[in-house]
Amino acid sequence: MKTSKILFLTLGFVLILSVGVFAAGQSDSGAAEQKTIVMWAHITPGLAQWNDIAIPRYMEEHPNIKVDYSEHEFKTYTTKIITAVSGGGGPDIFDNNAVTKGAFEPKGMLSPLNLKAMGYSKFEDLYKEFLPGSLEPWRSKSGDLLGVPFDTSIWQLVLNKKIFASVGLDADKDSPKSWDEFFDVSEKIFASTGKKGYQLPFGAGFGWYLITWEPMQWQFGGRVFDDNQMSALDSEATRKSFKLWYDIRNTYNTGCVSDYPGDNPVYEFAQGGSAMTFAGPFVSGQITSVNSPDVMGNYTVAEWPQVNANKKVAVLNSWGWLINKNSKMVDEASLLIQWYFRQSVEGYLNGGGACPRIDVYDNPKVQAETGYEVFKAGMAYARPREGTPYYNETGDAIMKALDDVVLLKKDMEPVIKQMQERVNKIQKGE
Amino acid sequence: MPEAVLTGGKSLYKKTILGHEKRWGLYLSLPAIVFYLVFMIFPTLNAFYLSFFKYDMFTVREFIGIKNYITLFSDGLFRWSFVVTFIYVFGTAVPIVIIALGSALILNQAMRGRAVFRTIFYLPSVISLVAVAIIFSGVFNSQGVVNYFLNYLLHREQVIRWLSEMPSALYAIMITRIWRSFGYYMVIFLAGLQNIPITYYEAAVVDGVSGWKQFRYITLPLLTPTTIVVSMVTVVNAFQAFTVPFVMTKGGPAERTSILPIQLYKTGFMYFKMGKASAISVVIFVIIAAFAIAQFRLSRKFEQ
Repeated sequence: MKTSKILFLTLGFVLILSVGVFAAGQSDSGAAEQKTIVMWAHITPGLAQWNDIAIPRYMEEHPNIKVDYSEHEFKTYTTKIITAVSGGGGPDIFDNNAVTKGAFEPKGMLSPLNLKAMGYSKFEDLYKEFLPGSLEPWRSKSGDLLGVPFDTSIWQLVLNKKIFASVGLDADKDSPKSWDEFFDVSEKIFASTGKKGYQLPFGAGFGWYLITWEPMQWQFGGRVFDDNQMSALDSEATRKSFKLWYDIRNTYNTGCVSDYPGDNPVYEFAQGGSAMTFAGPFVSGQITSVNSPDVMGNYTVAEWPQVNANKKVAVLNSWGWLINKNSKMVDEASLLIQWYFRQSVEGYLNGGGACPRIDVYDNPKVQAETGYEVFKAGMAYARPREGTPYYNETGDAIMKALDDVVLLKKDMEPVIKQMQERVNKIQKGE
Repeated sequence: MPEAVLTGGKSLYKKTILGHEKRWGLYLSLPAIVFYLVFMIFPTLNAFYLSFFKYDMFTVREFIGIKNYITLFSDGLFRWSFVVTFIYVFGTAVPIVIIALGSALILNQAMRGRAVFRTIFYLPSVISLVAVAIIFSGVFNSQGVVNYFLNYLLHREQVIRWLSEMPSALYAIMITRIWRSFGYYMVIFLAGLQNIPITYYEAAVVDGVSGWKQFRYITLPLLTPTTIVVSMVTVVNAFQAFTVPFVMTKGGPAERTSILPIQLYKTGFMYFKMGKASAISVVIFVIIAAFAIAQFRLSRKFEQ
């Protein structure tokens, strides 16, 4: 009896203490209720660097909002988002590519931004702040704005000036304008220095394959999908672009290797492992994060080699912020996104990407950044990437075909026919 | 015990003491049973159910009968995945059994440092699979240890891109699995060897039977139950292998090392075709069940 009394009193005391501590904690939090926005981003050095500055600053300026920000490994990131959202959860805001947004949209995963909460009476008022056409990939079929890009960049050729100089070349003047020149330069660099002239993204995932290969196919006059969203891959352009990849890795001594599981080639460039890479303005963030003395301050940007100098083609890649349809904080999320894109000049200068806003491209500090002129010039002939609701599966099918031809040296004809058939089945939803 | 209880006989005893024990046994087992039902039985049945639907986790499920299975078996990529899985399974299971048995036989002898060697051989099986896969990605890198030693021994400068060419990519993931797993099964064989009465070997020595004949006529037959268990467990585990091949090659190059578990993962979690992924899981389940039944029958036959 005595023991049970002691036990009861002890438990009662602990309970009262807990309630007291909880109440004290609540009263410390202040009169206004603090809201929490959960925000996810994929790990990429430049973006991470900028978000380390931007997110705390946002919370300082908005003490009633807590941003629970986290970064996620890129290769499994989209899977994580889709799994979380399908389960009724997931972050309020997450970033992704405009092409993948095309896969999210049919699933009903996204909530339109609340333009009224952002102070715009109509879409055109927001549109005026951005470069023409830059928001189109982010609109739904019904015209709602589903996301805002923080990085819309034209991918061009980035060159290591030091490596070029070591073989007696000037990276600014001697950058390859055609693919033949590209092979000459790559072979010379590899033979003289042992550094790779150029590295294809083997093993880095289908996203890297597509962004490198698609513009090559376009240069030869091809497309991935026809007007009916069926495969247009069985074409002469595909054959020539496959041959180009094959030549980079097998025919010429460019130094290009294929060690699986590969990393992204931009990272290798930032480490000083290759003389050239293919990237957008985000490359400055990657280079800064690696901080290799062989590359920092020693790189330049030139136009991507072209098949036809009179019909230039480049790829326009766009990453932006999206709002989860499950979010109960759509207004707050819209306002955070608006605040974010209004810091875009500083974002650009800190490696956070090239937001396609007029004030960014008109800013003198941005204009002084390495490669500005070339990236801007590319906008005149850049094309957005071709999207599909079955982006992952289609990407895998194209990657498999490229690996079959380039790595396993299979006969191109049956491989391309199989790829065509496979992509058509995928597009039919089979 | 009171006479009245005894007079009531067995049924009263069962209803009181034994019944009481059974109920408590059930209560205490209930959490485990519930856990098993929720996390093992229900998902298995649910996967079987979903395999008859077209489902992407967002839109309403559409019943399509056996269409997922027809699509799977008419897909060349799936058929290749099926074949490469069997190559992977038996290409690893057979060497694992042989190496594990051989190591156990050696380490069953009385020798100095036996405990140290047993620990060293067992160590790989306690290292995390992801860590092993990352380490072996480096080992099989073009600048890695394997190429270095091959070139040193063969006096050449050749570079094999192990993980991005075939069939070297398949060999690499198989070798990794064999290295990581054999130690675990070696311990099981050791236990089996130590259960063989030493008197058999003593009698064999007296009769002048050679070491090889001792192995063939004493060790091997008496080790058969252990061998059956080890063989079946390695096979079943190999059919479920995912981490090492996924980390090392992601199923590449060109899906050539995309064994069934990788296909399942990609179909479900990259392409979001949950119905089709469920169909793949049912196929794997049926294969494993067939092996498990075969093992059960073999074991019973041996016992008889």
